[in-house]
Amino acid sequence: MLECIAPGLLATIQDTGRYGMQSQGIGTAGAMDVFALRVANALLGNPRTAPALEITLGGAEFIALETAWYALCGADLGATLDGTEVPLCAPFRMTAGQRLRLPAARRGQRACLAISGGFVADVVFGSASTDLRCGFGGLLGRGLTRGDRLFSRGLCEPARLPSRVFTSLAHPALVSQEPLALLPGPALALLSAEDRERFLHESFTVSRASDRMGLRLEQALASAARLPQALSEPVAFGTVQLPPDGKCIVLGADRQTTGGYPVAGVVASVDHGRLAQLRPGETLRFRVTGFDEAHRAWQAREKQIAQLAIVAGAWWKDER
Amino acid sequence: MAPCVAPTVKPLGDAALLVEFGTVIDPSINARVLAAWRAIEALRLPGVLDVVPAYASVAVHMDPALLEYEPLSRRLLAVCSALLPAVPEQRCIEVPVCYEPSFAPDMEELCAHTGLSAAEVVARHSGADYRVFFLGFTPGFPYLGGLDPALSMPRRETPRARVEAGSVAIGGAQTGIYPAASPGGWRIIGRTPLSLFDHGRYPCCLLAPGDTLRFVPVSATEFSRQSSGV
Repeated sequence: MLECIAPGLLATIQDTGRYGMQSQGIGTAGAMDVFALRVANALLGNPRTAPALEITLGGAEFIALETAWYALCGADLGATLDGTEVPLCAPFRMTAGQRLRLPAARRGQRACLAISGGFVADVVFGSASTDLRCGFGGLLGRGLTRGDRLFSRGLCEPARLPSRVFTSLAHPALVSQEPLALLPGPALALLSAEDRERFLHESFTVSRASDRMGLRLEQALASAARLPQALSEPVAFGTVQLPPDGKCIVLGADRQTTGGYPVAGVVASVDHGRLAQLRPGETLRFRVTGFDEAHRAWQAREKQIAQLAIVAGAWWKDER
Repeated sequence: MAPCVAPTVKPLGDAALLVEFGTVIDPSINARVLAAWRAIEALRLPGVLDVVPAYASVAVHMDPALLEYEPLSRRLLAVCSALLPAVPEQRCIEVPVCYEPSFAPDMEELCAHTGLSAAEVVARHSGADYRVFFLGFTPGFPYLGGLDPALSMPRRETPRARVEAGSVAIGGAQTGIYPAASPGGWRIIGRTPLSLFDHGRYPCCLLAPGDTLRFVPVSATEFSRQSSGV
């Protein structure tokens, strides 16, 4: 059992998302950094979709009320356990009475804290993800507040002591300065030649108005105002919209199911974790990729997680 | 009726495909979209996470690890090109609406804008059959077609901070119902006591894509009877 002393800016329970209900207008929610969630779960021998905590930017503190194993992935929020630094991407044990502090973001902005067995949460339409707008899923459909207590679905002790820190997996989303891979959409070709050049070569600043719904970019593309009106159509994680003011919106986990703005493209799945970790004030660039290239990059990423799951799974095996 | 064009498939990123049936809002195109939505769902393809219809397109969201673009797009095209004529979906849902002033804060402005009396607005608004093209924007929200053009009015310059759940409103050439209390800029002309969405209910949404919807005027007394009865 884990008690929340301080949730920080926002701490929610998320899994890999609520898919299957978008035809009813119900969004997917889910972890912004699904890669971090899956690595954290793999390190603990959890199912890939086990619910975990998404902790935003820092200022968060928790106290363990019983002993359990955890893993922390995604952003580096300077985590300490009773003052001792906690490594990212390695299982660690918290004994009753110990305090986990996540003071401030050093790299990235969203950390994923998984518990052995996965957190107990409200499962709605097959997912434990918190839908903040509709107020269901996770913990009563809201972010954590002081005093909330979280339980594991079933704690495990490892059969042998976890021996490795997967540093190569610690920050795939955080170290890269490469442009984000984008599968172009219909509106890209309809921008003015100048704006298209800017879209593909300039840096865009992530605005303060960004949240789990989407990243708002500050620089405007003037010719977006002259794009033909688009019919509302389904959108996906990473869809880059061009509203009339020309300031791109890159949709995140709390996006709506459909959208009516012209679509410049969709960020490739392999780079979704980077979208989760870009902080307001940081910059990003886009580069065009093709379906096959994006697919190969994703499969390489899947292979990394699968290999990790085999190594880490062996730590927990005998207990299952 | 819009001409029937062959469906096309294109990627929506690397984790979804979009099947398009046209580029305009049209009931016959949407009927094919909804038939495709049901047919694709019925295939129960491994790795398909979600099938999502809109006005003239259907998205198929996939686990990208399992998505093979060429075979899947061929499969979808084959399915969508061989759709049987849409089964007439003749579910007609009657939605009671109280158009009385306490529930219709924008009725006066709408009358001034359209040059119609409140009675005429109610008669025209409740006298039409609306098609639920699809649900989106927020859980249970219907994208409706069929508003009398004489009733159209631009949205408010400044959206209200709070619009009550069940509010029936007009925004541009569209009419809609707010499923939950939220900020909103549409012109509110009434309220329904029915709940459009409840995540603890089955089915969770009152309306489904393809439904015909009719607004039925009710008195404030009937409104409160129905709201307390639910």
